[in-house]
Amino acid sequence: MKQITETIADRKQLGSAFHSYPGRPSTAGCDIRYLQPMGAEEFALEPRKKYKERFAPAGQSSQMIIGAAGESDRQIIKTSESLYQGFKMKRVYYSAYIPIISSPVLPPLMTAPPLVREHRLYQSDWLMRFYGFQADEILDDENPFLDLEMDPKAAWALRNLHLFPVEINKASKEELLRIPGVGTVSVGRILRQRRVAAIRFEDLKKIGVVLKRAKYFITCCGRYYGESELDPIHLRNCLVKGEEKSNHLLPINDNVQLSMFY
Amino acid sequence: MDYLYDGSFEGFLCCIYLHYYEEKATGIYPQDLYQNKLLQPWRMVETDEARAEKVYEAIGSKISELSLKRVYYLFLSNSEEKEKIALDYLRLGFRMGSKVDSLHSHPVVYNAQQLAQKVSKEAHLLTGLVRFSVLEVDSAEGVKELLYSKIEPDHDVLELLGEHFSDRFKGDPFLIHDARRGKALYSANGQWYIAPLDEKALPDQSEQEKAYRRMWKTYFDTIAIEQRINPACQKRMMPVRYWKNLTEMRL
Repeated sequence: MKQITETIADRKQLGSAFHSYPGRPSTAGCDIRYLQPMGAEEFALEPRKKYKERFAPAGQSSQMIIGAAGESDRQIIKTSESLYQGFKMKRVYYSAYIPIISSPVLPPLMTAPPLVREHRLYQSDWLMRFYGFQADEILDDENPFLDLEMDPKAAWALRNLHLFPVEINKASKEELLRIPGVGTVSVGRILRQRRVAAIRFEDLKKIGVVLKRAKYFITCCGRYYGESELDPIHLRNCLVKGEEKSNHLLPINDNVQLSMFY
Repeated sequence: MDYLYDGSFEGFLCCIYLHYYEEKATGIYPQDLYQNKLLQPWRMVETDEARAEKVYEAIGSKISELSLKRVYYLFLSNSEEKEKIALDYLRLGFRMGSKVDSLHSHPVVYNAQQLAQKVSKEAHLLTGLVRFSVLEVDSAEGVKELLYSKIEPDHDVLELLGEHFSDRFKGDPFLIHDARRGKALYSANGQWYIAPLDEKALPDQSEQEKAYRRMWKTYFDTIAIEQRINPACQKRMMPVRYWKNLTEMRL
């Protein structure tokens, strides 16, 4: 959970942050000729490291092409999950398939790359790596494809409405991470702040919670701030409308996207 | 009492010292930007290393190392209210101790956090948006090459870039020029310092520079995947205000 531990890492790293800035402005001007390239002999002086190099010390990654063959999203994220767990893979990348050659086994040349699907797959990938989700929770056998109109976390929340609303001031870290609109940074801040002061609804925006999604799923100091009852169909409309308004980056409808190019 | 300081971080810390040991500060201003107000007493603060050191240590031990970093980042920002934000933050911090780090929604902490974050974000962005070109310097041993880059950051992030680039270019001397503030980061052999720079004193570009710029531009254009062009995303990662100093966006 990289984001949450960031502040602790920061602190360790800080040590003497101020003193490590030797470049405080000096009043003397600079002579450019002072900057001479380093001689080859100076490079050789650096001592060699004595440990055995590990295989791929930075970790390994993999890439999947999305939409070339007919696999379902469920198959894709199940595969990623096993790569993360079994192979200790660092990252799995997803790339929308862009047709280059014509072949009977490939999609036709005019197919637009499924960019939205790729985006939703990345979102599920993050859910698995940073939010403690299992692939089986994100998709099951009956719905093997991700909802293109809505992010996978919100879709999961709508399928599991019995777990909501969650009380911000009491819920565990795992529960907080599953609220749509609350990310890892916000969770870290909520956990830290509620040790010293209760969190009011007005505070959530400053903490970084996306209220247009989160307000339907939380209570704050015992009060619910959504407009109505927790009803899946109504909530779905609210969430999709909210996303369409803000998200100009992703064309929601793949047909619209196709007409842009052809 | 309005305190004026000489524009250095140490000077600012001395104002904090006086705020606690002599008279409460109504405001802290850099000397050259101060506009005298009617009936408002003011005082020029002498920068005293020992006092600054004392406040510096106190922030680290009585509040937290994170706050120390935050105050330093605040100081680097170009906001006109940065002294006020930092003063409010430190007053709250000395009252509450390290708890202040956890009060993310307190208006004082929120303002400080947002502004400090802007500075660190810009420094991070610039680690990827610095483009070097080769200058030819005449010296006693003949013509030498020097990497030169011009940037115009909103905040004074030059010293936050020093460590990153000195580590990357250990063998090549380079300078990063902050054109907005007329100073530059000089670095050679992994060591670096910041000094004023006069743009007119710069040597000429090397002859191959134009060819390399053209090649970089061609590379940038041909590497793009047409089906994935996303200008909104590009502008988010590479804000338009930096484009004028980016080789691939200019030529």
